[in-house]
Amino acid sequence: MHHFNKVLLVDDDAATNFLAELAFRNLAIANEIQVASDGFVACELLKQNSCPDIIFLDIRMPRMDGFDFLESLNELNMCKHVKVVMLTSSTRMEDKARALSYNAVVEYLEKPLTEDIIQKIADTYF
Amino acid sequence: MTAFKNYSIKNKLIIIQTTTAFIVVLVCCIFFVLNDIRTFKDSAKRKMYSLTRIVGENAVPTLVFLDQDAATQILMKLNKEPDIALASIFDKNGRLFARYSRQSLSNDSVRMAYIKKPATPEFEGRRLVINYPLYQDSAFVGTVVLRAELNDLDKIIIGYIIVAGLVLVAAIIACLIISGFLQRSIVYRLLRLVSKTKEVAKTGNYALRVDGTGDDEIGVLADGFNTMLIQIEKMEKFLKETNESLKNYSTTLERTNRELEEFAYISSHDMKSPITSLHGMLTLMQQKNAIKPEHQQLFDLAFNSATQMRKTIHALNEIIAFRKTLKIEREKINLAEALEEVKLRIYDMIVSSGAQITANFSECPFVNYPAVHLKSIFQNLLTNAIKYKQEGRAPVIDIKTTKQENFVVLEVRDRGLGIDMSRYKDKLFGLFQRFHTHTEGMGIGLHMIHSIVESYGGKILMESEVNRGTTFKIYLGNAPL
Repeated sequence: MHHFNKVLLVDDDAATNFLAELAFRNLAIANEIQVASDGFVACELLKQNSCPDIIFLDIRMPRMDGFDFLESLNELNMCKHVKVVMLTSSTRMEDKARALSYNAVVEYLEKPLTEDIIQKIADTYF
Repeated sequence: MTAFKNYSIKNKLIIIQTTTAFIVVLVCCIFFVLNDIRTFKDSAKRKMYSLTRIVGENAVPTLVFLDQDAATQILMKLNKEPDIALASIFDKNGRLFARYSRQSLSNDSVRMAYIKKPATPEFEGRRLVINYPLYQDSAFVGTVVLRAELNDLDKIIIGYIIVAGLVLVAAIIACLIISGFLQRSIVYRLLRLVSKTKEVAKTGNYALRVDGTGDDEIGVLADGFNTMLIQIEKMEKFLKETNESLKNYSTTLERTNRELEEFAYISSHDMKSPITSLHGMLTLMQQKNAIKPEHQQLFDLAFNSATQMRKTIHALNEIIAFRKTLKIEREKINLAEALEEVKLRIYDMIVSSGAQITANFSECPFVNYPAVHLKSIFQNLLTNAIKYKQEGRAPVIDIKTTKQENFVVLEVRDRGLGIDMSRYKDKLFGLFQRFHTHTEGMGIGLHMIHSIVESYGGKILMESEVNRGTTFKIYLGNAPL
């Protein structure tokens, strides 16, 4: 199974981030796990650190939402090869369609993130 | 002329045709009468001339032989000519030689006729006079003078006038009858068109049609009228259908909207009680120290999630309740008094932040608005300005009102954190949208203000610069009460 060097979790709900981080730790599949409380924090993190292998991204967040974050990635020309998995509570079709229109986005998933899903993603995309 | 304009087409046509016919017949009559009179006079002249010549030729020997009796005898033969009133012969010296007159006349008046000497017959009114010189072997021997009284001329003229008058009357009667018949083919159809137009206008029944069309202008008019009616009928049908479907659509929309409101109300309401219980239980667990230290972090996360959910559901309930209030009637509000009341409500917040609030309502001290909503606008803007103040500085808030057309413009300016308009322009008034995370907030204040302002026919303009502050221009629809 693929071993992630770095994983970035972006969600304003601390519990979601905690559960996702826990799943990764249980699988012992990532060297480093970074957490950002919104798109803005995530952007700042990416500017200062190396790119992660994969980003788990929420849509509705204060200050900078998931879509704005994806726009910023394109605008700033950062982390061109990163894979983004949308992890959201939004079941709106237009949100899904819009998210998948970005090249970086590979999956659109509903919360919560479980160990099974992480394994599946690792097998499919890496 | 204006009276003529208002006559019916039928009468106009009759008047025009009759007048035209009258003028034509009149001109013809005048021409014929004048021509006949001239012909009559010419023939009278010719007759007079021949008569004079014959009398003169016969009278030459009597003059030569100075035989006055013979001359008189010649003249007397003229009594067979009823028109000849006077005939006389003068010798070469101009002395009266012989005379004949139908009435007794003095010699002087006979002489007067001689003096005039017209060589050819000439009219003096109804009199025709001629002086005919007589020659014997080129020697002047005397003159014959004849005078005719054409008494028949008057009779003839009167006769002509009577005939002309009769012809005119006959012509007018004939014209009236003929035009009365002919104009039917025009006027009758026009009148039918007019009555149909009136009927359509009165009943609004566009299914009516004009019949009896033809190839003339009235036919074209009738065809055009029918075509227009067909188009109007189609358009009316289309409008009715569209209207009907719009009505249905609006009913469906209304029902859907009601159902959605009901759904939002029930779901947020039904979620309220379990989350309140859950939150209460978690609070109780914390108070009872029921959490093992190694599980404290997990518990905190769960507790925070529950708290967040409780707030969200509470805010949802608030919004749903608020939306139902957007139909409140307007009242005349003293802006200064309303502001003072709101300041009192958030007194603690103002005092603890040291906020300086100045207000200038001198240009427009009143507004017609629902009081509860105006106060809600004031409260949200003031609490926002205080919450999002610059670090370490007391908030400064300036409020003023101006009048613009049908709006009272409420301008609220702060010198706080400001909002990055280039990023958030489209999200400013969205529900649960937050642009700063360092303080408590649900992201419903601007959404509520926006809903209020829009539902009372206004708008919000906003200028903001990060770390410089924000200016709200609230256009309050100031409809009369």
